[in-house]
Amino acid sequence: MNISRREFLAGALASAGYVLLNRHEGVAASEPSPPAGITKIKSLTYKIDYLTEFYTSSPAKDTIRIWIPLPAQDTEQEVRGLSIETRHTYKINRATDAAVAYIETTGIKKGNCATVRYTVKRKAAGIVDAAEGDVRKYLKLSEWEKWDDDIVRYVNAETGTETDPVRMARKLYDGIIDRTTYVHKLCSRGVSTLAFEDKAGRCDDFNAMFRTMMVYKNIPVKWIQGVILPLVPNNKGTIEADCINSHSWLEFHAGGKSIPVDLTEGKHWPALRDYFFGSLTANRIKFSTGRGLTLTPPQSEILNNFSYTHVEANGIPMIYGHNYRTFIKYKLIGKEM
Amino acid sequence: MTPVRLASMLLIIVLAVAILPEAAFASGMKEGQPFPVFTLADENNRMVDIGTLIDKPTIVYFTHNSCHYCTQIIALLKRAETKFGADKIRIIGINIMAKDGKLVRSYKKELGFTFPMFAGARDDVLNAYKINYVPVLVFVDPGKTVKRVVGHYVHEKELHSYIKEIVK
Repeated sequence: MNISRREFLAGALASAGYVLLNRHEGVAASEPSPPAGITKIKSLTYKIDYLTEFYTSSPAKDTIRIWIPLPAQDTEQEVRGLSIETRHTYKINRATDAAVAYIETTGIKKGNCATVRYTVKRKAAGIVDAAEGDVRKYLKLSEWEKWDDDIVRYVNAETGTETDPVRMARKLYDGIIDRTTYVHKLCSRGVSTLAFEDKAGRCDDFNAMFRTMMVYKNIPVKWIQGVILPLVPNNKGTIEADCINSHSWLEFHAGGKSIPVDLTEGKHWPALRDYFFGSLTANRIKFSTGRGLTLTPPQSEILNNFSYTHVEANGIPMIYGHNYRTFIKYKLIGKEM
Repeated sequence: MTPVRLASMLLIIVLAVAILPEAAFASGMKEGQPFPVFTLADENNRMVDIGTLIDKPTIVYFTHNSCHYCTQIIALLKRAETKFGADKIRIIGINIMAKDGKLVRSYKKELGFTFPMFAGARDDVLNAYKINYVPVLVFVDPGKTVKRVVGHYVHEKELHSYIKEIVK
């Protein structure tokens, strides 16, 4: 096939313009389109079965300790009819950062261990007056969030002379989304310096970077952990509640307001990038806040993430996917527009 | 397809490669560079210089207890060791959740493998290898040079083709 230099240049210019313009807008022909009207949904109500299933049996002499995450209850998430079906004795321990159903037993048999059932009405979230008093606690970084010279240089270059925290946040939100490739099927540690260098990661990586950069600018940011259900409304389905389907999002505090952001949803749905800076869709369940959680009673290892059941045999973490798995069966039973 | 359209498409690809961010992973291990070695605790809390184990084509496998896919890769590695022969390839596991030999011992027993595994939850180790997520497989030649770094789940055929690159 022959093309003239003129034709090639014409094509080149047209293409360059197309790519550059559309990239800035965050919309290209191959990018996914969100379902129509998704941002108009005020709340979604799901019936949830949270299953913890064992694939191996443990001898009766083994002490097995099981922590099952329970949904948070707050102004954005109403939980009704919580019940737990299990042959084991359990205790419900509610702490400010994570609620658990705790089982301690000897030995475990292959099969379903516990089903936690509840109805959760999750509201779409927006900017609200900050209800919490002292938000300076959200200036404390976890062991996975550190800034180095590269991050400092980047933040200073991105924010420049900007002093308004919301505008700074937006520049960092856009910057991280633009420079970071999303990878799904990995279990990430969410280390800000490594994710920044890799320019790749999952939600925990995007959020670790954003939180680190914001805290460097002295803007408090709260970390929220849970799971996300399909944005395209399905009436029912099952997802595995594992490190891959775990989802985190953030709320930063500025001017007495609490402002939610979901960077990876903003990345995944370019047409909703503006929406996810200041709003959250309702298709999610919140389990915990913060990172490096110590559960009640304390587990042996530091937990980066508590969206899925944590199990220890004789004080040693069992192997997810080999010894046990957790699943969320959901059924959409209500939608408010 | 018109020439202009073809040229436009080609340019989109070129520009995409040039403009879009380049993803990397486990960047502490670069292809063509020496594999960084450490002295790590095995399942008996015995400290072992893993450099001494890289005396033949080696796969170093980084994993974690919470990673479902990672357990499937263990199964593939066990089969690969049988297929290629333990005298031809060395497999070394590093569990980045394990602070000491206790968790490693339990992991090896549960998944039923005999190749060495070490406790990798140490800041110096994680910072040197720059491991932010698992699974990561590193293919190292007998000269301790990194030949390939794979930061995602692999299918068996793909794994075997990478092994053949280092077993010559």
